[in-house]
Amino acid sequence: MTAQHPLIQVNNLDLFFGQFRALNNVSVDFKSGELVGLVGDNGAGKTTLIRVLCGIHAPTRGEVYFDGQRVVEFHPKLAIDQGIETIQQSVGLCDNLSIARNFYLGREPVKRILGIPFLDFRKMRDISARVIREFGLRENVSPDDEVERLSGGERQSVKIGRAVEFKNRVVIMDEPTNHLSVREREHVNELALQLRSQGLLVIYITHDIFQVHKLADRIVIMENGEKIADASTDSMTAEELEEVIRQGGRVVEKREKK
Amino acid sequence: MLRSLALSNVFRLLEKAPSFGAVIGVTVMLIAFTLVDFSGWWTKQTISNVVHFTSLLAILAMGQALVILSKEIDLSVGAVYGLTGISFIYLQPILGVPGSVIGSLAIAMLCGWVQGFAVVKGKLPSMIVTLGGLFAFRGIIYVLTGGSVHSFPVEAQNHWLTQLLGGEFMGIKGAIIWMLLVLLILSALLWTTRFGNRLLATGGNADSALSRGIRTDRVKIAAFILCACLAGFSGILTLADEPQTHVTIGELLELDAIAAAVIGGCLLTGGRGSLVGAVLGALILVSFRYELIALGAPSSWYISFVGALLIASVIFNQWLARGGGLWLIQGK
Amino acid sequence: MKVLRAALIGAAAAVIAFAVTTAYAQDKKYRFVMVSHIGSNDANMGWLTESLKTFEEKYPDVKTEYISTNNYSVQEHVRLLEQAISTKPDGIAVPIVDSDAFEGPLRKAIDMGIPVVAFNIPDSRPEGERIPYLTYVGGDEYLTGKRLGEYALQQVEAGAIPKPTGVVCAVHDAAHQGLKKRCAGMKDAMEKTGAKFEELFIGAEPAQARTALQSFLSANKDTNYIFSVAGWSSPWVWGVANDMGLKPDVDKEGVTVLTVDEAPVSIEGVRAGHVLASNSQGFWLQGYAPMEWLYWYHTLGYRPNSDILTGPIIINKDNADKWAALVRGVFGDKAYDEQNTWK
Repeated sequence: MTAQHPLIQVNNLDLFFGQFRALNNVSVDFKSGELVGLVGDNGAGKTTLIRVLCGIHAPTRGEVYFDGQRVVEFHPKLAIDQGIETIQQSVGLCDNLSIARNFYLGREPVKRILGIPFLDFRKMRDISARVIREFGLRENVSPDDEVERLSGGERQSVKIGRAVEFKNRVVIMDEPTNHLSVREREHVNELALQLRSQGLLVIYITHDIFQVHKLADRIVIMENGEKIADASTDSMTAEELEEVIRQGGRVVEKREKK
Repeated sequence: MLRSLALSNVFRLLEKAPSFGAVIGVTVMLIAFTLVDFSGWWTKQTISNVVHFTSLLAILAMGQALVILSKEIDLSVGAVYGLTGISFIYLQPILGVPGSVIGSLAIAMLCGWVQGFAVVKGKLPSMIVTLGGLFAFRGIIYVLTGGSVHSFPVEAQNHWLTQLLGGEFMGIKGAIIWMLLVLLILSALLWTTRFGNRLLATGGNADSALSRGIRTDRVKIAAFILCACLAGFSGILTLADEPQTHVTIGELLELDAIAAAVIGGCLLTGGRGSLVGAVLGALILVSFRYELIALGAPSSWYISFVGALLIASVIFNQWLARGGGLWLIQGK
Repeated sequence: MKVLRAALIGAAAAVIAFAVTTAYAQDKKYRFVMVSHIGSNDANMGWLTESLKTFEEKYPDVKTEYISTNNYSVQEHVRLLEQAISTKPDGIAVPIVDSDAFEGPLRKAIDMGIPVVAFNIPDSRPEGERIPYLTYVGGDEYLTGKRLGEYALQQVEAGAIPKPTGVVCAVHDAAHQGLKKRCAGMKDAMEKTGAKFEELFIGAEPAQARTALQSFLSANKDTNYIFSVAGWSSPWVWGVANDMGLKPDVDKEGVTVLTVDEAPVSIEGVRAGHVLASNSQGFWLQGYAPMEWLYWYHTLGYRPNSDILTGPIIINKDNADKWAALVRGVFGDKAYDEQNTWK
C-alpha cells in the first residue's frame, strides 16, 4: 500500500528540557504499511522522539505533520484519536487498577441505565480476558486482578494485547519483547509483521539491531538526540549498520528499495 | 469446608477493600466502648448525636478522599465549609433560601476551581496552594462578617428548603440521610463511571493515565471542585440545622477530614482509597471525641489519640495495599 | 479701583481666617492618640469613638485621635503604634494585645516622655516586670467570673433559680489566659456550695463545640449550671441543653446559663429569659477614662496608684432593657438586630 504523502513527517525537530537538548534537528518520515526499526543506545533519544509522536511532549522547535496536516497541539488524547497506539516501556499501566480497567483506560465502554452511562464491566472483563489469554495470561488470573500482582511478562502481554485490540493507523512499540520468553517474542514479532501487512505504520524500537533487521523495511539510527542513519534494510546489512553505531559518525544515507 | 470457603471469600473481599482497616477500627472501638461504658454509649441520645455529627464530617471526608485519590490534598476544606455556610446566611436576604443555596455552592465550586487550576496549570504542590486557600478563604470570612456572623431570620429557618436540608425525618436528622445519599452517588461515580476510572488512574499513575489519553489536568480540577462543593454542602447542612454560628466555623475541620480519609484507607500516594472508609474514619473520630469527653479525659488526650491512630492506620493500610491481607488468607 | 478693593477685602479675609485658625489650634493644647485593636468592621468600635467624642466636648483643649485597622494582626498594630509614637503625641492609649510585641515601642515612648495608658487588655505580668504605663483601664477577668457566680448565688437565696449541683465552664480557647481567669473566678464563687466544678474545652468551631458539650452533659447528669465564657457561644450552650430537654431557661428548675459581654447576643439572651446574667466591662469608659487620666497627668501631675476597673457590671433582667437601649444607640438598630443570633 502506498500513500500520496508520508503518514508522519518530522521536520527539524528540536526538544529542550530546560537547558538540556534531548532532540537535535531531527528530520524523518514514516509511511503507512511500513515497519521501521528505531535503533540506538540508551539515551539516544528514541523514546523521546516517539513521546513527541504520541503527544506527551511538544517540540521546542520544528514541525510534525500527520497525514499531511500540521500538528498544532500535542496531547496523548489527540494522538490516540488520530489512530496512534503505543506500547511504552515505563508508562502505560496503572498498578492500582485491574487488568480490565487498564485495558480499556481512556476508552471505557458504557452501558446506559436510565440514560446515565455506567461502565460496562461485563464487556470489559470478557474482552480483556479473551485478548490477553491469547498472549499467555495464566488461567487463574482474572481480569479483575490488580495489574500490580502480575509478573513483568504478564504486564507486557496486557500492553501488547491492548495495542493490538485498539490498533488503528500507527502502532509504536518501545522494546516490546522485554520480559518475554523466546516463544512470546516470536509471537510479538509475527504480530508486528501482521500489522504492517494490514497497512499500518509500525515503529519498532529496540537495542537488538540484528533482530529488527529481519523484520523491518527501514532502520533509523539515533545517537545523542540526532538521527545518524536512515537506510532501507536491503541496502545495508545489520553488520554494516552496527558499524555505523560503533563508529558514531555522521552517516545519513537513504537508499530506495529495489 | 463450605464454611471456611465462605469465610475466606468474605475475607478476600474485605482485604481487597481499602476500608478494611477502618472496619477493624470501628469493630475494635465498639467492643472497647461496650466494655468500658455500656450504659453511657449505647443510648439513643449518644448514638443519634454521634451519627449526626459523623454525617457532617463524613461529607467533608468523602470530598477529601476524592482529592487524595487523585494524589493531591486539600487543606482548605474547613475554610470552604465556613465560607460557604456564611455565604448561605449572608446571601439569603438578597437571593432567598434556594438562591442562596445555589449561590453559596457556586462560591464553593469557585474556590475549588481556582485551587485546582493553580495546581495543574501552575504545576504547584497542592499542599501549598490549598494552604494558601485556607488562609485566603478564612480571611474573606473575617472581612465579610467584620468579626461576628449575623442571625438567620426565622422565616428563612422555616423555609421548606431549609427544613429539607436541616430538618428531621421520622426522628432521623436530615444530615444523616443526605450523607448516605452522597455516599451512594459518589460511590457510583467513583467505581462505576468513566470519570471514576480516570480519577483512579490519574491518582495511581498520572504519567500512564496521560499516555492513554486521559486529560489528567481536567480530572484533577474536577476532583478539587467536587471536594470544595461537598465541603460547602456540609456547611449549608450544618447551618440549615443550627444557624447560630460564629466566624470560627469550620476551623481545623480540614485536619479531621484528612484524618478520616486516611484512617478510612486513602493512601496519600494516590489511586487507593474508599469512600465507605472515609465515613467510617469520620465515625471513629467523632465517637472517640465524644466518648473521651464523656469519660472525663483531658481534652489533650483526644489529639494524642488521633495522632497515634493516624500513624497506626497509615502503617496498616500500606501493609494491606501491598498484599498483606493475602498473606493472612494464604496463612489460613 | 474695583480690583484693588477686591484684593484688599480678600487679603483681610485671609488674615482673619489665619488668625482664627491659629487661635483655634492654640486652644488645642493636647493631642491624645488611641491606637486600638478594634476596627470599623466591628460594631464595638462605636463604644470608644462615641466616648472619645463626648470627652472632646467636655475637654475642649484636647484633640483625640482614634487609630485602628480592619486587617487586624499584631504586626499591623505594632506598625500603627510606632507610626503614632513618631508623631510625638501628648499621650497614648493602647490595649496590650501582646506584651512582648508592644514592649519595645511603648518603653521607647515612655522614655521619650509620652505617658501611656493601657485599656481593655492589661499587661498581665506583675508590676516591675510589666510595661510601666500610667495605669490600666478596663475589666477584670477573674472578677467577671466571681461576680457572676456571686450574683447567681444571690438568686438562689431569693428562690429564683435552683441550687448548683454541678457547674461547667465552657471554654472555647484553651490558650486564652483571660478565659481561664473567668473560670477561676466562677469556681471560687461556687466553692462554698460544694457543687462539682469542671472546666470543659469545647473549642471555637460551632459543631465541635456542640458535640463536646452534649457529650459532657450526657455523662455528667448532675450539671445544672453552664458558664459560657463568650457571648457568641451562649446560644449554642442553651441550644444543646434545650435539645436535651434540660430546661435551660431562667426559672426554678432545670439548667441555668450564664455568659459574659455587653454584646447584643448576650443582652438579648438575658431579656429573653434564656440567660440568667451577663456582664459589662464598661467599654464606654475604656475610651473616656484613659483620656481623662492622660489629661490630669499633664495638667495636675496626678497618676493613679492602681488599675482602674470599669467592670464587671452585672447585666440581668432588671437592667437588660436599659442596656439594650444603650447598646442600640451605639451600634445602630441594624447592627444590633443582626448580631442577635437567638432564634
